[in-house]
Amino acid sequence: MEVRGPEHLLELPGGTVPSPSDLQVVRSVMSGLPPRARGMVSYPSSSEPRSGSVGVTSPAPSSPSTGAPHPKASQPAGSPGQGGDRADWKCPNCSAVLPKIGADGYVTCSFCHAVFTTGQPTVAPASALSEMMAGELALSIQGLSVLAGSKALVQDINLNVASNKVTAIIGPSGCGKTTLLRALNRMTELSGLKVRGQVLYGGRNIYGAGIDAVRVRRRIGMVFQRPTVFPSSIFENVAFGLRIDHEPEDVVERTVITSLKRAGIWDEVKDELDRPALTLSGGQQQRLCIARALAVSPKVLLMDEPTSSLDPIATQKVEDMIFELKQHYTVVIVTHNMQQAARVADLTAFLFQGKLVEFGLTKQIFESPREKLTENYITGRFG
Amino acid sequence: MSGSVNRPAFAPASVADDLSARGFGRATRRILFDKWIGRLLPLLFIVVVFPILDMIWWIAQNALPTMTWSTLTTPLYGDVGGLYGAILGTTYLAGLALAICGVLGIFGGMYTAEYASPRTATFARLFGNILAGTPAIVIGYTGYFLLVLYTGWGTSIAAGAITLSVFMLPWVFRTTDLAFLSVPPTLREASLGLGATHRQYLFRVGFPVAFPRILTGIFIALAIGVGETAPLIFTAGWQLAPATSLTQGTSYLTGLIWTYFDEPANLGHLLALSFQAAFILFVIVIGLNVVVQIIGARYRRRLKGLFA
Amino acid sequence: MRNQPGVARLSNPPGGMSLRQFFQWLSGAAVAMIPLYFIIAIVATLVYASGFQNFGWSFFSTNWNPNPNDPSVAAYGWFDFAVGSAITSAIALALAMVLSLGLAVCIVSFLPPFLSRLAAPVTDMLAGIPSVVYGIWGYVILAPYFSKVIDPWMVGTLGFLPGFNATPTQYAGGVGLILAIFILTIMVVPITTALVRDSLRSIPKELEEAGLALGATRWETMRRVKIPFIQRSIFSAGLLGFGRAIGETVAVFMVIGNEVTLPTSIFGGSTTMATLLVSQMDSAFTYPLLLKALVEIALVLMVISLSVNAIGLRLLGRKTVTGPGGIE
Repeated sequence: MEVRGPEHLLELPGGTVPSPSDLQVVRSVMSGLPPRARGMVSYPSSSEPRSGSVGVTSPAPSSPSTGAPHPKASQPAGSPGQGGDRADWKCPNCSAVLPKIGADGYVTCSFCHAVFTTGQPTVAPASALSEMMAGELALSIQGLSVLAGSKALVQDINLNVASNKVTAIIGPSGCGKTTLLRALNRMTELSGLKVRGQVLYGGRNIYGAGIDAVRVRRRIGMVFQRPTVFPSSIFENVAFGLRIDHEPEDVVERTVITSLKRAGIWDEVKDELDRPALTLSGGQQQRLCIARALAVSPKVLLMDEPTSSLDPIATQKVEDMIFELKQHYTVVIVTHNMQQAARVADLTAFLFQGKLVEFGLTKQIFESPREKLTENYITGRFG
Repeated sequence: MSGSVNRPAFAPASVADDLSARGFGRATRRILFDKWIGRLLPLLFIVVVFPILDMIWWIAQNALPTMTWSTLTTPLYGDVGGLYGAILGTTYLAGLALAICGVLGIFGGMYTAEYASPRTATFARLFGNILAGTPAIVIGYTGYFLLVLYTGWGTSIAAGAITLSVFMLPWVFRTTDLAFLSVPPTLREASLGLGATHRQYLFRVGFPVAFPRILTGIFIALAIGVGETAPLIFTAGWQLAPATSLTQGTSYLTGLIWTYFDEPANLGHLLALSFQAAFILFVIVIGLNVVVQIIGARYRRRLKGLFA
Repeated sequence: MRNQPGVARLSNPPGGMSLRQFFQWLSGAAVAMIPLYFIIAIVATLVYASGFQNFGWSFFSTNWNPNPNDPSVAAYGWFDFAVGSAITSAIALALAMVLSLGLAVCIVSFLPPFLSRLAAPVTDMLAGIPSVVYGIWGYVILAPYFSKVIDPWMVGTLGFLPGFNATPTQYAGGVGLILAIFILTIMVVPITTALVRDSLRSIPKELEEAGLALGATRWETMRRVKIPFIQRSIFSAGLLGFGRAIGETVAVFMVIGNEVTLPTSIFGGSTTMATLLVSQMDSAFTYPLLLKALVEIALVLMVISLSVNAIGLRLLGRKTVTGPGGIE
């Protein structure tokens, strides 16, 4: 597997020159592909140098060779569920109401990321998670429910998406991850789904009055499961979003080239930009779609299982690219491939039956999930 | 306590992004253009809805005041009488034609969908669709030469019905074909996998599932048969007295309009009869179409329920 | 279809079948090919009925003089009617395509779902109304309106254009090309609308969503993604609509005025090939040559509709076309 060097990044307008440590990270991710066995997951080392030491709530990783269930995080003393069985948990820090899951341990407030025990409402000291979330927020999902008729596909999600990080949404099929993702740039409207709650972008609710979906989608782009190239040339595909805006030709050209470079497909297509895009391979088509999404300069890029129809090599290229995209964009990626989440994501949210079960650092979710459900899913007991 | 947690903070750069459709920017113009297209395009429906409403209004207005029960039950003699002969003639013609094209069309469609090799099926569908697009008057000419002159039958219900069935056939053929194609392959695999022969599958499983759609094809063919004029002008003849045998010519509803639509005003009764015939045709055809839509909607719902 | 069409060529029985199986296959294929037999029967009958009469080049002239006192000057040039057919079908089709593109786009992308579900059957229903009903509506109700309101207005506003100038006596009856075009247009609209609409609906949803996810509006997605995607289907819808328009007889006959000359303006009466077949049949019984000429015109009509439909259907590349009642 050839890992592309950072040279081409140097010429990107607005692109930051990667530091040597970042390059190291790229390489280490590429060389350290995870083992295939279930429950044996390796992690990108990316979070470690940034978030510093692992917080107190993270236990030591389980032995990968055994494949046995992970030991639980340090069990809290005191009996759970004392606060009354009917009521939901209330975060002592920010007063967010949380679904009553995780009765036997710590609860992470998915809104403010405070960690508290279910017995005694005390906030745990600064965690690796809160450090990771310390930067700017790209999106803040507050009490989001997506309804098909009266049936809730996604229920009461509270989740923050940190800027310039990769957030993965995992969960068994049918758990609503794609629906949640599509709600983030108002694609749910197209299928007639109703949305309750808020998605804050730049501090404003994208579902608020006077907000137009077309503009939202310009800022929050989306890449789909299967490549969806338009039946035109490679160049025109990427230029689509600029053409509808009647951008001048030189801007179009420059942006197309930049986008193709960022999507890591420039070297493969630079000599044949007039070729029909449909003649590209599946992996190339998908990267072309990512380039096309980048060309309208979104802040957030939503990816709905972007590699599910690709072969392993093409998948690796896309993952490679996602890793580099972090520098300019916030990425939210839905995937059913847990190893992929472990490889590319800084943060991971686990969704089950439309509810957010657990959210945390990817490392923590995979090594020491706090919820039994998460653990069962990660270790392959279902899903 | 609060020092250890982070309240949501948004990227300052993104605050500058305007997500609304206000202002005079390019995006605003695009969004407004789209909104106005969305408002103006539906006006085109006037072109569709106006003719229907206008037609219903005028035809009803010309037909209904003079229409009584006896209009439907008395035959026409000279320029007095009603539509009985024409209704009877249309019934004979469309009924007989439906019997012919129903048998041929259903077997043809079934074979095309279930047995034919892909190539045969492709060509069968192509020819079916070409036949559906053949000008009715050309079919009428052919019927005249082949059935009226060469067989020596003269203008007759039989000649008219056979000619008409040629025009109706593609619709039955096509819907039957599609009806069998639309049977979910899982159902077919399931029954064949349980050891059913193809024939058992076809008649026990495929046909019942496909039946509603086949029925829609038959109704559509019937609507076409009832409403078509051109194939009958030279084949079905014209006889005012109610027909008693297949070798006689007959009057029929469309032919009545065709014959009397430009009668001078002093034969106002015949013009009124034409409008009454048009009204009846309208009711029959719209009724059949509504039935077809209802069956179609139910069928889709049923299939959805079966396989959702 | 490079070779002569024929059952044996269409689908060769797989090798190694018994004679019994072969005959079973043959009888089955025979059932499937019934439409083909009908087409062959139509062409063969017309060719036979024409008696292979050779009218020479005069057949393509404008000289139509079917039943003169002196049979030696009889002439059967059908050019006038070809012009009548071409004008009515082409203009009606052009109008219908514009309308049906708009309607289809509106139904697929711009109407709220419940209206969209309602709009499709209504347009389909229009295709099911008998042509003779269109005819009587046009002749009895629209024609007076055209002669009093529409025609004078059009002469007044568009009279400077060639073909739009006429004296009041020329449009006194109200019947004529313009009314025929109007009736043909609303008769063709449902057919082309259904074809375009189904093509638009057959576009993968992912493609539309990709366009919208890039921040394109519904219109931009339609204009730059969906319409280019179905270009071919739109063209074939036009061809199939043209086939319908040129073959339409009864309704056009009732409103076109049936003048056997080249029309001087769009308001004048004219004759199309299809309406000629009806209007001249009565006299054809006494003039055998006229009958043969009509049969040959019918053959020409058949060939035109056959080729237009065949090309249209091949371009459409789908199993079926939508017809009245919205069957797909």
